[in-house]
Amino acid sequence: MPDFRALVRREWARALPSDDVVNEVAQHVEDAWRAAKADGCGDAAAMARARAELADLQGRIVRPARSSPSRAPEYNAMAGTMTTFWRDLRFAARLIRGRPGFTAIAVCTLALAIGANTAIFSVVRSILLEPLPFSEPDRLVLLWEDDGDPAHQTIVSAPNFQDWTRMSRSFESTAIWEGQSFNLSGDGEAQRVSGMRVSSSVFHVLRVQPQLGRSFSADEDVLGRDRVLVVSDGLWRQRFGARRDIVGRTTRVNGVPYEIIGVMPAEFRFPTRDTAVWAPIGLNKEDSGRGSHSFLAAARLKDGVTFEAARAEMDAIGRALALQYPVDNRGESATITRMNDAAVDSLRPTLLALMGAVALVLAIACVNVANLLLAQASARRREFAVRAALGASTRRLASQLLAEGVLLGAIGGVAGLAVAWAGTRAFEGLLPESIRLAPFRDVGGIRADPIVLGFTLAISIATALLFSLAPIFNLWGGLRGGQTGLGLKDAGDRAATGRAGALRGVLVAAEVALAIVVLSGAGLMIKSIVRLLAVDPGLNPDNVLVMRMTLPQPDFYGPPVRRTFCDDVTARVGPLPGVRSVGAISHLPLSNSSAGRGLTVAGFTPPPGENPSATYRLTCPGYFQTMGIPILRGRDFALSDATDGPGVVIINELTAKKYWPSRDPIGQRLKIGRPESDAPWLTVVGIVGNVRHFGLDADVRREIYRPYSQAAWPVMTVVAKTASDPAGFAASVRAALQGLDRDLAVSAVTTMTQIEQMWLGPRRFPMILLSAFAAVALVLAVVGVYGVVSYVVAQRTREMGIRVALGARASQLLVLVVRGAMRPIVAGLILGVAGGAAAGRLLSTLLYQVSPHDPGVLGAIAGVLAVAAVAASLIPARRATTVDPILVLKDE
Amino acid sequence: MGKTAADASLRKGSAEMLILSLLEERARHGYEIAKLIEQRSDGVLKFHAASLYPLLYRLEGRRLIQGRWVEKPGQRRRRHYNITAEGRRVLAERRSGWNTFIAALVRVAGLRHA
Repeated sequence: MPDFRALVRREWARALPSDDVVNEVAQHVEDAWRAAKADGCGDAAAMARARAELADLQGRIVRPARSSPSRAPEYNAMAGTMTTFWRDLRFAARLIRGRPGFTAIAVCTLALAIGANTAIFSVVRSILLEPLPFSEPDRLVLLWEDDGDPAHQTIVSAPNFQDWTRMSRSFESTAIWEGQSFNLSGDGEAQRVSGMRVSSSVFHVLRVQPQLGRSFSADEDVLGRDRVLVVSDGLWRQRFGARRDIVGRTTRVNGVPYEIIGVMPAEFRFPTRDTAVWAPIGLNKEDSGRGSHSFLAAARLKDGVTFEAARAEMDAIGRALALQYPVDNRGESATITRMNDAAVDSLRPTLLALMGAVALVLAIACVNVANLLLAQASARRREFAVRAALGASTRRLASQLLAEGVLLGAIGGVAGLAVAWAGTRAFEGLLPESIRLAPFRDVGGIRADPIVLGFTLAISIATALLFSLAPIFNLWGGLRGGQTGLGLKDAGDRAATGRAGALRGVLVAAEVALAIVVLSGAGLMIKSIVRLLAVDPGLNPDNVLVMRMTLPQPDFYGPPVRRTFCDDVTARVGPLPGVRSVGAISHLPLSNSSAGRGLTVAGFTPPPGENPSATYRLTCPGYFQTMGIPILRGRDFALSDATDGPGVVIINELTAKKYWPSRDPIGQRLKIGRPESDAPWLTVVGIVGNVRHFGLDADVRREIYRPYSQAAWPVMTVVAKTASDPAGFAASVRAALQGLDRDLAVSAVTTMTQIEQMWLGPRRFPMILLSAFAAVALVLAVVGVYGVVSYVVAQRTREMGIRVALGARASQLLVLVVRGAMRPIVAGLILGVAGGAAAGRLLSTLLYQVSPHDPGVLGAIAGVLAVAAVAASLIPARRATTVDPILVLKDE
Repeated sequence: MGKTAADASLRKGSAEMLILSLLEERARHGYEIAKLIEQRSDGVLKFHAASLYPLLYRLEGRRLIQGRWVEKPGQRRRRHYNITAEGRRVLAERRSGWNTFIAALVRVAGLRHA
């Protein structure tokens, strides 16, 4: 005899009756079973009658108050609706627990999609949506010189800044600063940190006070009184052990003693989170040139002064200064931008592309879960029909489906938050520096604050509503169509063809289309990166070890304080085992640093309005050989190009073509500065190949190189070509350089390959994330197509059996199923390609030499998806061909 | 679907009365009640366990009937229901209400007892 107690428990799982109830009802069911047997029923028929006793029982044992059909209006009061929905939720909870497989798939899908959305949203929010973390941030502006080119603003010279401050009436306070690296020594190991020379007013403009000690006073802006230092919270903890008696202590900065006077709060980002020290600006002779643009400037608008008014005033002041200083300020004006917008414009396309992609992934997840629910709803059609017959209104049933959706969405949301938090570290590691170190902001980390929680909650609920729509729509259609009879034997068959079938087709098409959009975005980015990697950088980064050295130097124009630097490097590093060659340069390619100089070229008359110029670098002998930059003509610098010797210069190919188009530049002369300047004439001794100094996607510029021995720079980057993996030689090279002078910090030890990778990072970042999303989208789409086709095949088993019985061949059935599945897939492909082309346009600023409508990419993606979709439908289609007609027909 | 309609009207008003009147005769268990209703209505009225037991528990909750487990030799433990004094009172009330109602129907619609 069957175990009726178990049967009752199983069927009534959601009612959770007591043991007594189970016993009593099991007895009843057993009685019914015995009666059926007594009537001569077979085992199966008797069991069916026994089961029928339980059919309309669902959920009614515990609260039998509504055993009569609930059309009574008093039950539909608001309070009733809420308790009803609460009951639906509890019911849904039991249902969800009862289907662990389905629940696991749905929740994992949702958690991944919601988690990814939460993570990306956190970044987007801290950069695009949130105001700067300063008091009244909308009153903060950056000040710029404006040369009339709307594409960029120019950084500021100190005299112009001082005039602006003096002449303007719009600003409450103004500040100026310049980024600089500092060498800390004296206590512990010499350490190189990035920092800022700032005017004392900067803390006033930002309205930030140190957490310990004080900030700078105005008199410390003056050179000579500037030996004071404010440090970041991070440096205070890391280097000074968070000692509270740090204020008043002395540390050596670039070899000179400085007094530490303050520690900034932990959340202070100025301008980025890796800025560790601030020193007074101490404007020197170099800074006092009106044409020497090297500072960033900011101001706080007076209360009540609008941005537009301040900009108009700055424009007027800038024009007045251009008239007053026609040489240095020729054609220039001055302008302001909102500090809040700093760097945001360049990041916006990346961030929006990612947000869009991740939203598409969520949409695909949504469609998938909708599909799952739809299949479930069809399987439960009989249950719904019975309940409808017992008087449950369509609204009640829809509410039930909605409750299940909301519950799934909520679980998915919570799991999504967990995924986002768990993945925070990995995600932060993926963030390129341009985003992680976005100026003035604290990016990275997923904060558990109301906004993030609210966002996650909102998308979870929106998702739930979306994916619940499909089964509800289906239910509505089914019940309206009059399929409410208790029998409903044909319910399953209709599901394959009728309204549910159409709905499923729409879902498959949507899924395929969305997946193509995400995939094509990733495809375009990948092609773009491939194109970038194919660009010849003009140098060979393989096996080049790189490290930076600080060479304290008060005067940027030389002569160098350490005259023997290049000789020392060659003598100490050159003979080390495994070192093939060694050299040094002031501004390493792809390192985001550069300097430019106006030139006077002997024998070249510039067209009116154009001043000859080139980017400017200093090298030690051996640099070109080490970096694999070809010397096309002439020679490299040599140790014999001494400080007191005749001035020499090496130019790149582009400079040669520009200024000596029809002559041999070797032996020709140029000087730095204007024709009237008293700078010495320099003789061209060599021509080297062009280097893409500013990036693989940037144009080559005119370049001149001078020997370090004849000019000078406070920071030099030593490069060494090694016999094998350069990382293995880092320690010995570093030790050799440190032997030069204990107080010279060696920092930023890396390899040229790593620098190239770092440069690629911000370009690779959207590609990697988009590819990851694309992979998820592809898997979801394939799973979705597979699921739907399997379901349809299962529903049509009887039809297939009949076809087999009537002599259909396996291949015909295969074609039949696959053709049926292909219609929505093809529709999805067409929509997806159109959508992909449209979405590509949004990516266009991120692409390099790839059209946003690149037909190759779109075609390939459509092909991949078509093949994947057909493969996904073939598996269940093959199952259809193996249907045994006897079995199916016996079932009739 | 006439049966369904009859089921519905039965459940709506008279199901409690039917059960109470069956228990008025003697104590019975659930399956017996269901079978009796089905037999006496010639199969027009049919209770599944699903709808019967909630009703029984509700009547018990209102103290109109009382269930207890009875173990007889050679038989399974079954739960038998007795009508309570309160149950008898409610049944009497309902009956008079029904009688008045049916009398009114007879007068208005000219119905005759079969």
